[in-house]
Amino acid sequence: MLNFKTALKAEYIKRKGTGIYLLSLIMGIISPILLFIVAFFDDTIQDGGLPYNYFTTYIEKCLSPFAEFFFPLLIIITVSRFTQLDHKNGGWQLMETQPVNKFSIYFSKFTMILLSNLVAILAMVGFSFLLGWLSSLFIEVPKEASFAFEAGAVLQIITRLFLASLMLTAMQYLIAVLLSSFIWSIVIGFFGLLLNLFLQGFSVSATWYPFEILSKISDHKKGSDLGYWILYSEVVGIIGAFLLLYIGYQWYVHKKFMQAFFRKPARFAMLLVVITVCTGLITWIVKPNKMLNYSETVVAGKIEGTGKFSRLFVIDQFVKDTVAAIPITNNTFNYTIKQDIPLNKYLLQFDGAMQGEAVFGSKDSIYISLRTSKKANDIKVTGTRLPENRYQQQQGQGWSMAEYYLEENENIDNPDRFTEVLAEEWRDALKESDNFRTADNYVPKDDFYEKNRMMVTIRYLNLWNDYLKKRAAMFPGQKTPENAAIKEMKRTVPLNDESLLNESAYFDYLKATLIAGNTKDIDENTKSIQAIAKLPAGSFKDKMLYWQLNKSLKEASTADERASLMAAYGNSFSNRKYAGILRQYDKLLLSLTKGKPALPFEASTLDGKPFSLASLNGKHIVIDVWATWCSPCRVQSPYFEKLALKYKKYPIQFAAVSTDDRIDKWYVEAKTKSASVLQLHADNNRKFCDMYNIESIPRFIFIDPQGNFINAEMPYPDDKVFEKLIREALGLPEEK
Amino acid sequence: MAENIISTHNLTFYYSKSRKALDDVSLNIPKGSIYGFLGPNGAGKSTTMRLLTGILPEQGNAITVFGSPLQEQVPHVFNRMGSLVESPALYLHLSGYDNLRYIAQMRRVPETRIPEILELVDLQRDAKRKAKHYSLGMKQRLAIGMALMSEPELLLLDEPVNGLDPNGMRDIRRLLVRLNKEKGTTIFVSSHLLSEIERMCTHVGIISRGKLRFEGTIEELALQSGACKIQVTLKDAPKWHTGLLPEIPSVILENEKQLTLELPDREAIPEFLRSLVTKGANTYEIKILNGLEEWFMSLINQK
Repeated sequence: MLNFKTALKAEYIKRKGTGIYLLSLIMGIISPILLFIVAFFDDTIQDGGLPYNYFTTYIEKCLSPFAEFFFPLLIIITVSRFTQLDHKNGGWQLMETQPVNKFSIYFSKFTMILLSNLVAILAMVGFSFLLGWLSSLFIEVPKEASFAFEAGAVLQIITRLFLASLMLTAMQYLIAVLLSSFIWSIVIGFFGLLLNLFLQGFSVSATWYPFEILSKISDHKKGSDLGYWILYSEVVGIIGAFLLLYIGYQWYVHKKFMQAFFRKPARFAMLLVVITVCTGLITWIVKPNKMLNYSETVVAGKIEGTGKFSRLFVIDQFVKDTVAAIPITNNTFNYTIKQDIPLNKYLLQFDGAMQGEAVFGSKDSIYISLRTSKKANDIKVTGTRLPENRYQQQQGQGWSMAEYYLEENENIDNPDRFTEVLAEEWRDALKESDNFRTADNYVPKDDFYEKNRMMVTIRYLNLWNDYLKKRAAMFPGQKTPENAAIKEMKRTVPLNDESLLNESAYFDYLKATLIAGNTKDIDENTKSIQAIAKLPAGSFKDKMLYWQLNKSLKEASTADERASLMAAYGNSFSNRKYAGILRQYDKLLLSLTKGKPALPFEASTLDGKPFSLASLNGKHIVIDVWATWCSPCRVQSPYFEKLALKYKKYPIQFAAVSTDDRIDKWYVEAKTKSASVLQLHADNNRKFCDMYNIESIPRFIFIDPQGNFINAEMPYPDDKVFEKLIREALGLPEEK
Repeated sequence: MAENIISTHNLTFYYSKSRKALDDVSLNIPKGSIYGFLGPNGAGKSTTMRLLTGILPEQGNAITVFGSPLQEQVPHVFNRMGSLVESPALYLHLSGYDNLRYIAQMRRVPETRIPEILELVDLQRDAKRKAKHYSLGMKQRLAIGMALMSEPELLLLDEPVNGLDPNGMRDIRRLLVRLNKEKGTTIFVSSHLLSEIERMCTHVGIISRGKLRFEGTIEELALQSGACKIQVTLKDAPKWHTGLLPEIPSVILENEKQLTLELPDREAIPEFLRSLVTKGANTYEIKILNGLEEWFMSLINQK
């Protein structure tokens, strides 16, 4: 130990004048500086809504550039520079002829490099505080931000970064000590760094890859979902570092690889033991875990933040059945669901207002934490379905080339190309589903995994069916060969899985299969409903019929057509429940037809006053339903404003109703709009959307002076018909 | 017989199966000696040096230092042993002073010793300059200073005068002789220059192609060269040539004024001179021709 301290102090003398630690400092502060500059020019970087710690968030934002690029880069450079000090000057031999053992020589130098890592980490954290504070002087910080010093969280980030850097440092050190030319360790390091960035683009990654261990920190900034201090990847890093240091040290001591490990049986045996134990441990840790089933089905949780809630409704998304109504006391709840429920994505509704989703099923114990404020809310689901819920949160349906081809009618003449692209996308999507891991290396359970594979496949099968349709229309008589991948996709998805029928995509797929052979010249809905009517009675048919009838009703052009649909098929259900729901729906659609009274809804104006629809009686009303996050809404709103200005003098009121969850965002944006449009925010946007059957936005609603609908679903204002309808209603002549 | 500070017993070393660098080398370096280790480039000098310092791991257990196997003593043996291998190993980005400070730390010697060393190697005025701005001689002196930091009993120097000008060579030579006299330091110094070794060493070992060809004191070395060859410059050389021929058959007439001839040894020179003068020869100059050089050349060219 004395020996080691001696060597360390000597190393400290040696680094004098090299500027190595200055470089560490600089590499550490680049990320906070970049963020500072970005924040200065772009204030959208501040995300508010829920309470958060300003400084910790600032540090977390620095983690991506730091942990994925600047920090590994620094390690590559520092390791090379430290070892070059001795390679260049004959220092290794000088050190080895001093009364200091090789262990001290090897590890004192390694310690110096770790010190450089620590300098960089502390510089990053320290400057985050400094520049974070500085930027708070120039930029408006949301009220939710707290400026407290979160010692625990900061220390955790520092510790994690340090541990995650160990394996990369040990690897670079091994290379740089053995190969005396500086170029090799730098080239190998750069290549490794680039390879990692490159592979990430292909969602290929291995947890034991030293660079990946560091980038895991930026992937999981908050660390473990299960409350562990460090992640499994960091544990892998520690073991990997040990392994590499062992090999590197032995190699260094005995100079030659053969000499170090193969000349003496004892050395070889030791190597085998170390490799076996380390790789064994790493394999064991890297192997994904699955949550175990629970003995019963439990839904528990807590609510933090503003607002008190009395009940949580767990709702089946298919027919909006309430699976459980869970009482909430003092903003906590713990409830056992007695009946068997299938694995599904359920809707969570807190007192009919706040809403979220959770994936679970029977024999699951899930814990729901809702954080809520006046402006925003956030739901986290942990427990036995933690991985499934994380997966759902992260994976949106990605962009698809095949889908683009279909939209643009490209490659309809080239089935080979289309099938190839489709098959490749399908395989990639499956791979993405297979590779998903939580921060703590948990993967979804088999039932979810199987279902997800099918859902992914169904998406691509539906694209395939759309393609077949287009081809049949554009190139009738030409064959479209199915390749092996398509056949495999079809094998993956069974045609009779009732549990999948909760998803409309599966219904679309089954429908396409049912009517594939029908070449009669009638519309698809009719073909489909006729085919479904012929299915044997039972819950499978019920669900199919429910989907189709729902669709047919929605697409029916008149009330008469809907009435005849209900008359023909409304009684074909084995389970009366479905018929009841559809009747409700029919009624809702009827209530929105021309001449029916528009129901009053609760909304507030920009100055926070309540608004009533009745106050506008005597005027025509055109309503634009929109939200700040909706980009098609942004496209339409200038046309809408233009018309509002044009018809200012006429007895017509243009109004915009926002369905934003975040009132603050709405407020900022609505303020900038023309005063000729009355800006409103729906107080309870769920209720409003249900009442007006708003399934997508933008949506334009036209109401007459008596408060009755003229048109509950107008064309968009950029369409000439929109203005034509207004002029007709106002009794103005057609414009030439 | 004096106690040996280093001895090797049939030291053999292979770089690879087909490349034998050292073959049965048995060295004996007596305490208090300046041992010159002589051989042409590539003879195995550096390999021996690296083995003696433990930089190269020994294949076997043939080296004994201070009476015990070297392998058992690494690295604490360096408390008693200073070395300069593949010179000059020093940190060019540090000043001379910091280089010494580094060694002082490594050897746990108080830093107060640094000025002494600086004086010893005559670098007081350049202590604050970075080593990369030093001349080769200064670098060499600094490296020797570093090796002397902990007042070692034994100093191993690999080609310490390599590449130096005559002045630099002389400085180092003087330094080593002084150390040996004043502190009793045993010095093992390698060189490929016979003249260097001759000038300062008490003992010599000659190595060539991995084999030790000779080991002994400098006097024994002189004897090894056999007969002593001298050159005499005198008046009427042809006449004396004929006169001396019956007595000394090896006499050769070089030119009008010079003769060369061989005597049994150096001790025979005064007697020969006296007889020449008695016989009335006008002698201007008498010079010992270096027979050692020729002998050395033939030695190292042995297969």
